[in-house]
Amino acid sequence: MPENRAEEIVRTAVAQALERQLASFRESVVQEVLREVGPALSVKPAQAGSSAAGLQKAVARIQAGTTQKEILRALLDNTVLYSGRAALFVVKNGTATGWQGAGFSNNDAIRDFALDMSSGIGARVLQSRTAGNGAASDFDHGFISKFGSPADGKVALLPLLLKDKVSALVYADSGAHPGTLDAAALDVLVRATSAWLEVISQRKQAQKDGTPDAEMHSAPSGNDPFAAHAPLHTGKAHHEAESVPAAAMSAAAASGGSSAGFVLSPEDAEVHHKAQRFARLLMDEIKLYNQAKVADGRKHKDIYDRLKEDIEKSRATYLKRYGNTPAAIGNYFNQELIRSLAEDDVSLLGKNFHQ
Amino acid sequence: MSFINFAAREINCKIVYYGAGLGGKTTNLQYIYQKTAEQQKGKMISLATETERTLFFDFLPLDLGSVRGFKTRIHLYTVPGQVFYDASRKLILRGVDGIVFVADSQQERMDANAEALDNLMSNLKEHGYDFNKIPYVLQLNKRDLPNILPVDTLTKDLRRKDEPVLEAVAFQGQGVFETLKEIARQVLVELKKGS
Repeated sequence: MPENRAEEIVRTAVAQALERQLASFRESVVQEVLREVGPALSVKPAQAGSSAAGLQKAVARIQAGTTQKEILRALLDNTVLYSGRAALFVVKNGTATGWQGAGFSNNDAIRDFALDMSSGIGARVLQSRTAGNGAASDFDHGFISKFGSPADGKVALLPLLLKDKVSALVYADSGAHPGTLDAAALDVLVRATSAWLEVISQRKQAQKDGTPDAEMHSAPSGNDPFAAHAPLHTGKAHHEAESVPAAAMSAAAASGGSSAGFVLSPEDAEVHHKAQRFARLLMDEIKLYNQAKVADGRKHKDIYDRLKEDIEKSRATYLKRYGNTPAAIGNYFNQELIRSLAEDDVSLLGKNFHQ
Repeated sequence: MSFINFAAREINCKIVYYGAGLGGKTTNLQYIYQKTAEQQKGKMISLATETERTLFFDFLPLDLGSVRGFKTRIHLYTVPGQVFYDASRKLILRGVDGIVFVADSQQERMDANAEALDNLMSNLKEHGYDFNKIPYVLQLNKRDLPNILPVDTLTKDLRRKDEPVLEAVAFQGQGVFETLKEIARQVLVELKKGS
């Protein structure tokens, strides 16, 4: 049997075995995290949004992500349900660099912001690898000065651990609304994200190694999901950080719904992956060819009107290729349109844009 | 494929610069056009719309030699790079004698390079052309930028057969004529085979 054929068979078998484990793995992670943080939840009466059911949904949304970027983006989106503002910093060699923010008036400014980790809460969290809460005055002064102090003067910093190392930090505060910071809920979300990133990382490594799924639970992963992060000042593109391939995609993830249930075949997962990449490429090209229009559209909240022709031509191209494939349910074109062109703010597309 | 103008005693060949949007195809052509003597070249014809920049011109290189007493006139074309102009790209490939794939060396354009390369293979197939028999050069452009991938990586990911790989900084002219000479050489070899 030719070597490449044998490799193909092994890859398919491994991928199928991994897929079978996905649903139960995800559920066990959810339960494990909830069990671990249960005591914290029972001590502090849950707010409306931090009920177990609400948290379970938030965790499920995070775990619907199949790439590093999707997972971290979901973490941020759900973090602001339990806080006023949130930011994620990637930690490398003891330095923390801004990745994305949510809830700030100038989210873009978070990118590549270098957090001072030499003292205060930052230093303590990095050293203890446990979440830290405290006064804004005990946090990086440069950050507080640039983004403003939260109304109640309290901040939280949570470490996102991968293989027992702090790979990222989640900053959260109540922003302009005192009392909205729910540290226990945030702890759940960050722990769930850590666990899910480990799962994805191990799955990817297992696939790469061709190891059967049974070994997945014990095999140490040499794959660092944050390895691809490259801040702007390094001269490397952010794009790289987005390119961690999906080990597999659940249909739930594709449709943006619950993470439980049906799992895609490896072939379908590959189609989803390609469709998403193609949608991303189409958006990149719209941005490249129309930089001024994109900037104006964002400013005036009418991106769709200004770029309607390019958007619709791109959509037609996308649908021609993926409209009749299993990836059609993923709606990746609109997802990327909102994520990439509108920077996750659908209102920037304008009133004439309909999903 | 090439056609012969008996009256002018010229063999006309078509070379297409293919690649992802804003990768430097047009820049290659513009540089060649600027550096070619007036008496050797025809008009530069631009099929440019607001976003689509398709160029065409022909010229008669003096140093290419002749095939059985016929001079070789080369027609250079670019294709629109943006993904959704596929129909234009397919049309321009018709009758092609040689292809230069202009790859953007920036790492964030690797998906675009891969897409353009797949698109090239697909369009050649639709025309019934055998890629393995078509003269072909891979040009790695924008080598002056900071966020580029190493040549080895690009070559590994983008090379489709044993084609020559040339580095370029097209807007400075680096690698532009080297690429043209290589593709013209290959085309001429094919012509001589056929003669």
